[in-house]
Amino acid sequence: MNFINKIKASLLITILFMGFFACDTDETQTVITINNLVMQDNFDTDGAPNPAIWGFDIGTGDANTGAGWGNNELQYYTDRSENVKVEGGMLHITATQESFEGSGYTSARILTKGKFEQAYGRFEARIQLPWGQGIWPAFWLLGNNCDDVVWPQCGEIDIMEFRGQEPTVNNGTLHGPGYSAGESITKSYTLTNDRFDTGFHIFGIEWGVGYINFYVDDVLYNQITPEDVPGEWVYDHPFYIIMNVAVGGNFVGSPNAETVFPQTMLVDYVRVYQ
Amino acid sequence: MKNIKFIYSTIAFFLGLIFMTVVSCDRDLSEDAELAGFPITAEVFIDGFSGGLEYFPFGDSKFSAFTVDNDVKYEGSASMRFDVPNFGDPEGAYAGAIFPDNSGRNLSGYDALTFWAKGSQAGTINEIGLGNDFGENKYTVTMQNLQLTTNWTKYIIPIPDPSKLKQEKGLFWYAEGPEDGKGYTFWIDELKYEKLGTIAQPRPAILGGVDDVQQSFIGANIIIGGLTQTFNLASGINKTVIPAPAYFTFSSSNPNVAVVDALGKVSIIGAGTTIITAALGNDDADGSLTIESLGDFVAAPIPTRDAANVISIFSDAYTNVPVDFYNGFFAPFQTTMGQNDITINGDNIIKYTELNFVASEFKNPTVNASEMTHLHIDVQIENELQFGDFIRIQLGDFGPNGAFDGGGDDSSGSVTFSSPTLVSGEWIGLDIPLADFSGLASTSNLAQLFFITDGTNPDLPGAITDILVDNMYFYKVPSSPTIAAPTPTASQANVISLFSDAYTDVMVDTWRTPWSAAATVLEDVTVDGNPVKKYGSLEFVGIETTSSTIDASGMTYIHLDTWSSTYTSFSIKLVDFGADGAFGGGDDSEYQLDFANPVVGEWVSWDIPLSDFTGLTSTGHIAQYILVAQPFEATDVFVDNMYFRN
Repeated sequence: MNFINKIKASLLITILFMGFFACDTDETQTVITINNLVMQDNFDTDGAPNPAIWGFDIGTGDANTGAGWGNNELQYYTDRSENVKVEGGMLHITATQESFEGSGYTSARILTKGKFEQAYGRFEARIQLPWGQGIWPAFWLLGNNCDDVVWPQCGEIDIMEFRGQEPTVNNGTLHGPGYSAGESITKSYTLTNDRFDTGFHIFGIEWGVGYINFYVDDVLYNQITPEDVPGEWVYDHPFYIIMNVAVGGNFVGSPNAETVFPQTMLVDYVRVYQ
Repeated sequence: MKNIKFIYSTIAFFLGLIFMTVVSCDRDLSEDAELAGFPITAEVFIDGFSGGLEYFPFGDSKFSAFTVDNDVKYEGSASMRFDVPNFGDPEGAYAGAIFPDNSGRNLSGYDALTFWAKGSQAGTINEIGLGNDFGENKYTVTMQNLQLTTNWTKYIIPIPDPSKLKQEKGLFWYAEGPEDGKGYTFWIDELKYEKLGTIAQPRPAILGGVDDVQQSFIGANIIIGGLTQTFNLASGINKTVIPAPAYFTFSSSNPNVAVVDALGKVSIIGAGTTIITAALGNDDADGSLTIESLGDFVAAPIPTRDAANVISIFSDAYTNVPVDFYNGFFAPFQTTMGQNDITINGDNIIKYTELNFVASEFKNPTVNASEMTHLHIDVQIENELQFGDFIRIQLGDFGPNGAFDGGGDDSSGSVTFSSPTLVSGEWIGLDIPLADFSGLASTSNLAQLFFITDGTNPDLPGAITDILVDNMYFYKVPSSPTIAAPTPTASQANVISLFSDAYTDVMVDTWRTPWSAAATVLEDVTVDGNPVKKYGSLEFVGIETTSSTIDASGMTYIHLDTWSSTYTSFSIKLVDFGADGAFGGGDDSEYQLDFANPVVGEWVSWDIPLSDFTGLTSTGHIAQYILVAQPFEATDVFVDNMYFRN
């Protein structure tokens, strides 16, 4: 563990958290920051996700990813309210076991592509995760040039990536040219005496010129700089946000008989600062 | 109630964070509050017994199985060592003990019992857990089949609902037998309660998580079983433990139909439908029991045969022989569900559903019924009967070797019943001579009793799927009764008695007229201290009240009790002498009722409406009574309690 040394000179900001916790799930947190809040969705309006911010990926993959979204994932993404909705101040993305358009599962994947894209800043979300073998939720960023250059040249930043069968472990990862998929630059963060599927946790990055820092709640657990990647640093152009719950696939393996469905990822908010 | 945490950090963190948290939450105690109650000591055994901890082995276990081992340990200076005995160890067949703290501890702040363990070989501990205190065992938790390796491994036994454990005495218990007949040793160390914070996603279940439906009756009791609590651990592994019923809250959707107590015992009190569900803490349990109560239940007649002449397979009236099961669930061909799991007003009853065939097995040891003559079964068919429906009763004998070998010395035979013997919705008493089971070469090693209702013969398609069964027993019919006939209960004022200890009898001129069959012999005998008329070699016998005829016009029934080991029919004729009170004169009338196949070997109580004697034009001057039995002159019939009543 040497990240403290790496970042000892980088005390840039101080954040004051002031939280009022009540016993219901409608918890609110006020964040006061010297940074400039440029985008937020608190998911306060019931219905479909705000179309000004979010679009949908539908189906089992596109021309860029191929089938199974490039990972042999098993779900069919829809924009139906059964799979994605805003309710009670939360975004719900729900993976369900059902036969649908030739797939055995349905779920949803929403993204800010073409609606909100930004280079640098602080991206964070407050999330309670689903659980169980083969459940793969993620909160991540893709470079907005992925339609023009082949992934991973466009860059991918995984702020939260989670295996349902490892309920205490979050994974923060960069995928770029020469370091993608199995060779990606990744680090996991394990909760002590707690889990990600029993309460809300904040997943975020601080992204500046020449560094990306990964944190969970109040714990900074990794910093990646151009020196840490064995290829080109491709994180100086705008990225967009993706939130999804995949089922099965290379990262998690398939669900088994013990996997409980449906499984829902609850997102309290997504915020981006510049 | 405020609990303010203030953490300010200026250390070299990229993010210096100030948390200010105001918590207002009923479930959290202030840090200033003092916890009243019992000690919260977490340690059970670290390097020795924690304060208050005691050791009590199970009564039939090997007492010396447990020792403190100062050589082998995971950490510190000592561990708990358990020496599981070999099969046949005279000191005890297994290792098992409880480790209580009899003053009780408050464990409600923990979520798991944890320990490190290893075995001298790979082994599977049969049962291990907490909550067993040799007392109420109210909050027992059992983990089954805990698999040991030869390496120290940490094990977690999640607590189904810690809030229940405010004063728990049973801190730890286990029971383990030999592996493949061989004993071995395992060690446990660092045994303690922990608040892991990662025991999550509780999924309690009752009835194994199945939504079951049962028909039943008022007075029945059903125990809700299949209780489990499953958690997801930090490892991602699901762990299931068996909680005692007291962890659950049971409920009945219609308390007018059934109520359920704290231990999951359902009592059916009315007709209708109710759904039994449960919750554990705040979590609804998977599984439910829908009870369709059909209302009042009529029990099968209580058997009256002398226990000395009975070998019982299933009856509350007798001590049953050891029975392996009442349903072998012979997959894949057998569909039948149900066994001896119904109790109605204290009467245990077998209920089979989805019946095609089913066997009770009693092979440990096999049953020697060679002295017996009959098989009795009470059966009630719940289906409406269709053409071709039947019940085939099959007996299997395992032969002298006492083991099923599919041939060899095994033999079997069956008897098939159909309409009109079979009726729907009432108890049918079957008394089957063992001689009728053709093909059954022996009754010395009986081991199986089948019910078969599913036909392979197109003429007997067989659609009986739901039956109740009670009082399955072999019996022998002695040549004379050994117990007295039932004592009549009608009051003297409503009775004109010819012969009964229970009443004052009227004058009877003769109990055997000279014109009776010559072979028929009257003998006054005593059965179980009770005077009885014995008609030896009965063909027909006349009984007369001619000198003072009986005016039974105010009576509605004639009653008599008879007993025979051999009669195949029984008849009774009444003769009324008419208004002149004398034989002849043109006003006499008479009528005879015949009864085929009376039950043999036990008292039969005939309670016959006088109106059934349809040719009897008057009952004002009854003077003669003729009793007839077949086979003629070859059966002895005992008679008691002969009277008119209204």
